[in-house]
Amino acid sequence: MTDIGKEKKIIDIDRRLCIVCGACSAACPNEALIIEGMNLEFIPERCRPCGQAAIVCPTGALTCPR
Amino acid sequence: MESEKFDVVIIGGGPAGARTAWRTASRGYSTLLLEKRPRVGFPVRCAEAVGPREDVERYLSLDESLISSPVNGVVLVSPGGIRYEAEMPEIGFIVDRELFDRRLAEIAAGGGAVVRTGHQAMGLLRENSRIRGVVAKDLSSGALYQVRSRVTVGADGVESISPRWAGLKTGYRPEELMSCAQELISGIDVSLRYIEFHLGTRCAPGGYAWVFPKGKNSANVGVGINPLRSGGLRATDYLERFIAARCAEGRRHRLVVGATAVARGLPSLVADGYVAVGEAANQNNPFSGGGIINALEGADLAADAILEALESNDQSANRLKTYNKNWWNSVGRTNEIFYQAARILYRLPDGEMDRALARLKREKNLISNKAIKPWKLLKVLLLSRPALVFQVAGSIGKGILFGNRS
Repeated sequence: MTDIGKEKKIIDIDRRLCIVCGACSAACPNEALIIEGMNLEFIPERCRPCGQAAIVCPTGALTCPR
Repeated sequence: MESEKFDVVIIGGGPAGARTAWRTASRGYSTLLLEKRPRVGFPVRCAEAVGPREDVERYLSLDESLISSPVNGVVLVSPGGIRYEAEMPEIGFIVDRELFDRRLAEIAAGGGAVVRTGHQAMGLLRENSRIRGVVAKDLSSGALYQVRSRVTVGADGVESISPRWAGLKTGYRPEELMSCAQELISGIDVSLRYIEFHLGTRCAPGGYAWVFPKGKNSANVGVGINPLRSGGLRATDYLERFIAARCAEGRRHRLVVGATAVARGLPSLVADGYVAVGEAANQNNPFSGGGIINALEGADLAADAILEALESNDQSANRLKTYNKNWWNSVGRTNEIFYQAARILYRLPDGEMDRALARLKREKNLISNKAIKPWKLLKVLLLSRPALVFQVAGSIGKGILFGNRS
């Protein structure tokens, strides 16, 4: 089974920079980034790579490689 | 799946959620408050400014333990470096937001609400088209359970998903979010207890940088930027630059980052069996980003409608919509003016912003009762963009009618 999200590397999360503020979650139109408790969860199959999460991230923890 | 029943289930244990919980619980309705973090109010994600004492004390007693510093004046620094200063004793306070939120949650619990931390709403329960509670998760065990309720309240803040589930809102566009970063810094002289705002593309494109006193020599030092106007730089990059210019000698204690909604109010705050409140409902001020008192006011208006709905045993959107009307006739309307003002001011090129601020400085009675008069603010700002007068007027009219109609 192929994990499309991982294969295409749609988003990079640098966990050292991410302090789980939720900005990306607020900006993601597709609920692909969800804060669960104190963790940021990425659900690749919901991601329609639009780049908005990376734009609003205050620390630069999120990048879209493409 | 285990199932529980409450009259009201509230998603989010911030000011909006806790105040709503207190209102419904203290009237005898069984109320559950869900907070996904292990501890209410922690970690703080806020610049911690609130308005004057009389505003805050409608909701809780502002005792010494909650106050980090009074605010005794305002400093505004224009893009060209012109400094405007005004002494305004006790125009507001910088609070200890963690204690503040915890106190509100304690008041809710004291009124009979069940406050559950480390539990998160994962989805809404629906019956026909009506919202009938939530699927919740105990984050320590991973167990899912149902909470059936007569009214569900979305008070889940800026990253909130529940108003999307309820069909009231979509994700924010990047320009509707201010991307923010802040450090608590000591060894900075703020003995005058003034709050400072610094404007301009160099320090905070599309937003502002701030210094809010936390004590005699410590302050929340932060920046909020429009992420589409920042030339690829991050809020943290601008924060570094601002700290280097303003208080390079200070010691850093606590980095806070996050997003603040600077979006237009939601046309409707209600669905069948569901109500949105606080920043989840874009109720914070889109000019300043501040939202604590707005959230508490929103909670009271929401609670009025919820209590009426519960008493008449009709939790339909049609019954709950008095909340829409009351919101849009009060803070919602003011917020709409602030939204238009923000759209003008924060988009002005530096030189024009300098001139706009000089005009604001000359305007008499811009501030009364310790608050900016939004109409005056907008009027003066429109002098910078006279071509926008009709567009803004039409937009405001539509916004206010739109909100009232639904």
